[in-house]
Amino acid sequence: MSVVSAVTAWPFVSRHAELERIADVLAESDHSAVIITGRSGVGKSRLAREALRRARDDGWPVLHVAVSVAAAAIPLSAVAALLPAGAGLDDPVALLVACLDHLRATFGGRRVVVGVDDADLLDPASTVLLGHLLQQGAVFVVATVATPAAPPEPLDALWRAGHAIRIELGALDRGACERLLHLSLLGPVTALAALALWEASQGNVLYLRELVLGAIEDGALVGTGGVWALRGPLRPGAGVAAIVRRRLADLPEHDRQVLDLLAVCGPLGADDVAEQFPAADLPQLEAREWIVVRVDERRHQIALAHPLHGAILREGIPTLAARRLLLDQIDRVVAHGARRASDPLQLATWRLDATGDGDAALLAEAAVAARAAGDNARAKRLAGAVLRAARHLPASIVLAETLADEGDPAGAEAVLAAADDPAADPDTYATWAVTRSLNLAYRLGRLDDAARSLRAAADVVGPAYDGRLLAMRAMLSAYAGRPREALELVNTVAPPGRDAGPRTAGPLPPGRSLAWHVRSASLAELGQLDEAEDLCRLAHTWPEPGGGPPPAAVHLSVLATVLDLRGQFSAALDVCAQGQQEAAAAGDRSLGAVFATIAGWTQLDRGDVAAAVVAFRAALSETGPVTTSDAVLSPVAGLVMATALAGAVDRPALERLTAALDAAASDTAGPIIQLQRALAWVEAQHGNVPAALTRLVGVAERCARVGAYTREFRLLHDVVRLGRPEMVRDRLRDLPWASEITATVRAHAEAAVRGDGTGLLTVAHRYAALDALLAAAETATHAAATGDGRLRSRAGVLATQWLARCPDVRTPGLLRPVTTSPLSTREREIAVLAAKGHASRAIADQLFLSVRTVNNHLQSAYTKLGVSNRGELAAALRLGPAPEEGV
Amino acid sequence: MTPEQVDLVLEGIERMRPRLPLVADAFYAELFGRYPQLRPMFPADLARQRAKFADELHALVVALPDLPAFLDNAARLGRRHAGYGVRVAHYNQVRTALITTIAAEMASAWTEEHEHAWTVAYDMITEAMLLNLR
Repeated sequence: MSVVSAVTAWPFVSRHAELERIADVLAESDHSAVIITGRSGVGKSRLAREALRRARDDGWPVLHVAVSVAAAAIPLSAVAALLPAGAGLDDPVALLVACLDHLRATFGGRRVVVGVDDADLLDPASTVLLGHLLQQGAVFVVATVATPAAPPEPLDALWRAGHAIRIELGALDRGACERLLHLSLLGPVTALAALALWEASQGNVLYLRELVLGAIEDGALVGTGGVWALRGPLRPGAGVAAIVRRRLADLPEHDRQVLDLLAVCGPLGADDVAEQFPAADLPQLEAREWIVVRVDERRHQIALAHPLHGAILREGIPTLAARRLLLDQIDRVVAHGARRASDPLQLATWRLDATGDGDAALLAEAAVAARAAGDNARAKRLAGAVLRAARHLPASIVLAETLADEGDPAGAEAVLAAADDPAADPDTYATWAVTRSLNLAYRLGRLDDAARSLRAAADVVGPAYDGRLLAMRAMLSAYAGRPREALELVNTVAPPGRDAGPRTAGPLPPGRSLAWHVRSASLAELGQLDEAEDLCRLAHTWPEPGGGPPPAAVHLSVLATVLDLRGQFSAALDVCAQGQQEAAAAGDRSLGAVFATIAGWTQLDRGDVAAAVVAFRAALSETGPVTTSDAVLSPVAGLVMATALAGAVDRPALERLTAALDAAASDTAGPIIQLQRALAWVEAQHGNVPAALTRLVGVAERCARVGAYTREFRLLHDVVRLGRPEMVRDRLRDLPWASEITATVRAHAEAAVRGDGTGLLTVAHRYAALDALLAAAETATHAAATGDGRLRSRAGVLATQWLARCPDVRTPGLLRPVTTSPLSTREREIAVLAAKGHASRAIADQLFLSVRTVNNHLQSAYTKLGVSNRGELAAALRLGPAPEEGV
Repeated sequence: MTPEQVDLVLEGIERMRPRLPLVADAFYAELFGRYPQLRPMFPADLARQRAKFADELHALVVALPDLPAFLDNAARLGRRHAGYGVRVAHYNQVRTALITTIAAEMASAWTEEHEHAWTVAYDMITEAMLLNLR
């Protein structure tokens, strides 16, 4: 289905109470009109239309009167639908009589519901006629009036007399906007995109619709894998612009000048504006929602109320006029002494806007400030202006960071490579080197280039900056999946221990946050979970001055991983949600994707394949077109793994993975391990379990060599789940880290090797207590296949219950054949029919048995399976497939 | 709803699934405790009602990822409720009772995120039930 057509057929949300009220009023008969008021675009006409539709469905005769500016010029043309053909228009009394007769003849004397859109535009003759019809009780009017216009006199009089109700429609609230987006786009919208659309539209339905249509056309709003995400800026469409221009045309000249100045220069002090435009009616502009007043730096600032108004106003201001406005504003601030701290930056921005250039140092400073404030668009523009004139290292860093945030790491690398300037001050140069190396390694997957650029930088800046560069080198080791080496490197920069906490805070070496990130991530890989958790929490609450790199939220990603490794899945998911919020607030889409990815893997550990797929898709919708980086590989690997667990193969994703494996820079890098696991599960699902086992064991050995013990553990667990516990039992015993999960998996392997059904069932309960329901179901299935009698039925029922909470999975561990059926053929036959909902009577008829015999067999099946009703019976039978379903 | 919110409620409904009939009992107790005037709108014997409630809540929530199916499902349910004389204001009363009940059921697993996700999900369901009532 075409999305644009879905958006055009915008669903009617959130006005159900109003609709109900209109229907009530119509039914009661002591009112004769409903007046719907509100600003342009809030949905008045739509409400009126829906109300008329409902009235028609309820059996009322309905007529629609279309009023337009053009029709207003011709008397009575608007109400033509109410008039008999050929009625003389010159005698008002005769016309009224003719009209009443016509309505009575056409509708059998019933009250006619008349919809009048934009009733304030009715011509005087139509207004008078409608007034008379209302007085005679011949019509019920549903009218809309765009605020601030007043309803026509007859309606207003009715309302004052209590014979009409008024419904004031406001903008949609944020929740309603999000529902509207979800329903019209037929899929969820990322938090970031929903926020941007809400902020731009301010709940005005018409604006929202125009914005969405425009953004889809521009390619700014993109649906990937059923999730809608924003890839570019929002632009006002022609429809909105036309409405706003119409409203602007009604404003007095000096009020309009205020708006123009605000549109060009941004928020200004209230006193300055009042002084400059003494004739402007600022309270009126505020009342009409053109401007808002807010308290900023202890003074009142005036800003445009609606961001879209700014864009539309600017379109209407010729370039030279805009330049004049800016230069005049600069002169005024300079004349006042430009005393405020923010003035130099503000002046630089205005000068840039006016003349296209400005003081490079100030512009660069403004760019850094804009980026710190999360205003990426402005940061990019300012930095771009600096760089057009000359090379400038800090501006290049800002520009590259904004590009990387927006999902263009290749563009970021191009900017950074071009900016290489060994003559720059060493501090900035070191920051540049770290930024570039991080982008190359993490976002582009080019570990070797990252290391090379780092080494070259170390030669330039000298030993004073070793700390920061070493921390980054350690980071590269961590990315390459060599945690032991990473930890050793980072220990030479920042020795371990909690002594570096805030209590001893003095001037700290730059790069501390990066060093801590490397240490916590490496500790997590080595299985030292408590130390890793402490450090993550500390680093998150105590970010690097100046905002990184890395951003503080990065520490939450390691924290989520640690919680997942402990089996604290819901805590891990909560941390992911928090991380996503922090990343969204900073406009950092790639970091948001990291959290979605971790959430996906956590869901896989729980066994919720569907939730995992949603999370991985959401991550991929934020990562952009890069194909080789860690940021993309991990969710792609997750998707392949999830589909494999569901018994299917995601072909395109699989091909991407195999290609990535060939290109991998390090065979123990985190995403490469995930990719290997995914491939193993695909092999197992294709029935090639030996190949899967060889792969898993081989990769596990490599992980052990570099100290990636937690990753190794996941591979060992996979081997157990694929039914070969004896291959890894000894290694599980010797694993150099422990948690409730490792203990459970160890017990699993031991019980499985012994073929101990009771032991397996105990392990299954331990998995379930951890909320690892898929593992619980698999282990219980194994227990059912191993044990006999009561154990078999108990384990079977439990397996089915747990599995019911892991929708859509089909792993080899769940298909373990049950050696002998506990039910006789006849019992099974009857049980299957009963489970499908057939009554005993029907079963008896079908099998030519007596009802009593059927019930006896059924009772015996209940006893053998350990179930007590038909619902449980169905669940228990799904374990050993019914005969007609095959195995 | 954001993809993460869809996720959270899907996970929640599956977690509650085995106990949904009990959740239904708790819900009706909560609803009638808060709004005794609603009691006559329901059958005297709630035994069948609780199973229906459990099935319908589950079906609606798991349909969230497939919006066309979700809309069909909700519209059908919405028309039926309009037939019972359910008014828009009732949906708000039910929301309060339902969220309270689910929070109690999820106990310590319940977070602010959950509350938000379930509220948003409930509003989606209500919205879809009230769309195209005939």
